[in-house]
Amino acid sequence: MKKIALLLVFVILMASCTPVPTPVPPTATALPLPTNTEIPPTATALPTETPVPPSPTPGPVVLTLVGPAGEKALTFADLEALPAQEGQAGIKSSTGAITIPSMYKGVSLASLAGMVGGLIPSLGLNVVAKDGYAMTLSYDQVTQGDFIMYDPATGTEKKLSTQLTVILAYEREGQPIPEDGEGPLRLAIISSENNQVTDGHWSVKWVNKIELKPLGAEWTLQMHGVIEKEVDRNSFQSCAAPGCHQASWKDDKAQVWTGVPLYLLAGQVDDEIQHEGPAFSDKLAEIGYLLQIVASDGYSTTLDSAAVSRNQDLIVAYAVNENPLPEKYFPLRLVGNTLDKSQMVGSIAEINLLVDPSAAATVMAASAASPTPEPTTPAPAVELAPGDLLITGAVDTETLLKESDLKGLPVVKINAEHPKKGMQEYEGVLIKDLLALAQVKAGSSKVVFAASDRFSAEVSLSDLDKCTDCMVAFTDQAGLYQLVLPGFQSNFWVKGLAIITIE
Amino acid sequence: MKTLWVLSRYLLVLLLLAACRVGGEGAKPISPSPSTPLVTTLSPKETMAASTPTTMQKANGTTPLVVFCAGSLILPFADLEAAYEALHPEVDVRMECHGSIQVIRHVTDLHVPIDVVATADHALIPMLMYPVPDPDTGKPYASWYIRFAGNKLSLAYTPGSKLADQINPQNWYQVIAQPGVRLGIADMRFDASGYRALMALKLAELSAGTPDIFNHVIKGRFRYPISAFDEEGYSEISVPEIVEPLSDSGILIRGSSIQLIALLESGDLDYAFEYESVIHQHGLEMVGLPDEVNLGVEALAEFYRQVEVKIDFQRFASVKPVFIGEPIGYGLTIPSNAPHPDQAQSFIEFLLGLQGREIMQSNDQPVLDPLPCEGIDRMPQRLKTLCQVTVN
Repeated sequence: MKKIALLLVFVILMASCTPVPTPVPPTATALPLPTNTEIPPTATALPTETPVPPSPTPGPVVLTLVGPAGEKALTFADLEALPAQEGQAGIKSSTGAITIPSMYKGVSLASLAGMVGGLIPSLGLNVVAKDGYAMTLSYDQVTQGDFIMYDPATGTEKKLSTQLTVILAYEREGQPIPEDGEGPLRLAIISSENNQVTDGHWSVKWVNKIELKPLGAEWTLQMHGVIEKEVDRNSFQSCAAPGCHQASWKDDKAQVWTGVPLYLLAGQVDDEIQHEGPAFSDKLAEIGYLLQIVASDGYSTTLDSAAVSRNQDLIVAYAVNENPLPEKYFPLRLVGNTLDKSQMVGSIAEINLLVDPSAAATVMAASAASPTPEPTTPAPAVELAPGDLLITGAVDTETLLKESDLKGLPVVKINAEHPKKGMQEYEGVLIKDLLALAQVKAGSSKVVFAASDRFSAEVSLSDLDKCTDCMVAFTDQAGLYQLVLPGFQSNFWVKGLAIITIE
Repeated sequence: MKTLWVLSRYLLVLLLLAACRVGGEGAKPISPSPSTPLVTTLSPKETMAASTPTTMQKANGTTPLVVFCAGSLILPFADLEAAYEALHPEVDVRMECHGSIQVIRHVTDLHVPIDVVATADHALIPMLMYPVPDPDTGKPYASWYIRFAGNKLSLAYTPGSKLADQINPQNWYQVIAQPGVRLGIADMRFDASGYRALMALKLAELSAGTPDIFNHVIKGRFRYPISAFDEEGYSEISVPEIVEPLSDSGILIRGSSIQLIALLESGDLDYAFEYESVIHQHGLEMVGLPDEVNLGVEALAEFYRQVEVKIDFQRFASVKPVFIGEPIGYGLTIPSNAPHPDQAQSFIEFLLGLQGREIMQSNDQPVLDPLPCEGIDRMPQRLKTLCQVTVN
């Protein structure tokens, strides 16, 4: 009890501890709130009809906008000429102090973002102050006003249907915001009523730059071979999407690395054919060259084309456990079971194909003379997921099989001689059973086997009829099938088989 | 009696907030509108001037002593302030509490003259103050610090929390990962307890030898993923620039850990990562986390160092947001531009002396003994005697 009494004495002492005027705490803010007032039309968060200035107006630049569409420098007059919004904004500091709402006027961040390309969910809106303070707002915050609101009177969180809008304010209570105070530009999160405040850390003062930037660093991969190519993050990730060329590898900590097989990247620069058709040149790989994978600090490893050729297990990974790589390896790392750690180059910046010029010339000449040396398959009409096998074309029953479906069919084990690897054991479903399932139409003459990377091989039906052991084999990797064609050359043994087309 | 005590502490906090100019984020308090005439605030410039020694008048003959402290020190420092002023009526202690990074930013970026700085993470002082010179003197803003207190990270809850009757130091990570259980974490971009919570989850995984604790609690619950990556003897946690839990994720993020307490008490949260001292001060229930996880045991410093948090978001130009796991240590120093260094030393002596230790102890935040000091050669002579251990 004595302690409490002491505390109360102390409280009274504390109440006068500062000589400076203070922002009023939650309990003290109940007094002045004009909650019974109707907000006049000019005090709503609705845009006023102010025309966009036809050309930049003179005066010092107060705001720089940066976005995908470029950079814009705005003067104060430029901002004033944009459609304005007005409303009430107040803040709650990290220690609970409330600054009750005031009337602010300015331009919505969504509008400003629209001037340099517009905000999309994959971009953040970075607001920078002249002292280096910065705050990044999300798409939902800028476009939906997704902020936590507090009761200005009590400081407690409350859920309101009130629409919030983030503006870059240039006026408070009808007056310019002093430059030696918080201005001339600051963020304000406004609503039509003075019934909310938001966290103070969003309300950046002294704003002089707004930038739309990707959430995650951008990067490029330089590739040098018979031709040169630069691959950016988007292109790489698109290439590594499920159903396209995605490959994965699990490390000893059960972390899953995802990316693109190295040979497919090599295929981008080993001749003029980069994607459609037989992008990877088996011919050049057979002649032989070295692949040099180089990190941004110059560290590198070198692999032989024979080891890389159509090797699904050598992967250039851009994600681990579905997240971007950690800083140490960002943005790309070479991974795979057959590599030792020193070969798993991280922070990959370059992939170089060290090709003998005469071999390159030979391959290029061959490509020019025979632009489509191997059969190719058009993209299927249906979207295939990893592990899908589609039997289509001249069949009575177009058939889409999941791995579980395949395993439900008669599964056999065979020993067959791979042209390069020698005698191997394979387990899978016989081709003849698959063709019977789809019911090949009379008059058909050939079958095109296509991999998910569009590599394909064409075999006559008559040859297949003679091959009693030809099968679609399962592999160690779930959803990855190997075409097994005993007696055929290795380039017919399609790995990553996804589509069987009867013609 | 306990309830009365807790209530009285709330009353104290509220009145402190009213009486002291506490708060102010990147934005200073906004001036009042004409429709709110009873509220008086200062413009940022006026506020700065009020704290500037050249313009600071001795109010009623007292010398103002400006103390900036971490938010988790509000209550013990309020007690210290009262006790110190009782002993030194000639001094008017002016306390402001913020997030620790913000405390330092007031010195280095806003050049506010401050007499004593006390942060919840001692490492921030050498990281952010040593390299920055005072433009007026060319001297670094700080060249020494005393690590004066520790703490432990724990889980706070209330008797009404879901599974409150089942949670314990062995199963806590399973409970907070349960569907329907609402977990609060301070925003790791703004509050040290937020990035320490992520460290704790990873440390739990390492100490229990149970993979995926971190992922079970965190993965798939944020719009922009917070991820962890493991290598031999090292785990790196990456926090994206925007931290937004999915609406149905069960995770609530607030700018500071103190905001989570209000949500616990209102029943909007089931559990929240908080410091033990703060949990005790607010009379909440607590699950004490294992020593390997709570970041509170000096002997486990090497174990804690296995975890690192990297934050993509750079709030201040001067802050590189990379935090290595280490025992929680509160640090204090006197900025080189302190207007009243003698009084600052006197206040620190008081804090670290017998009476100060008692006050800190009564707030469940004991002062370390012995006191590790860094930069002892550069410390004021009268404070050197307080230091018996030098930290690396």
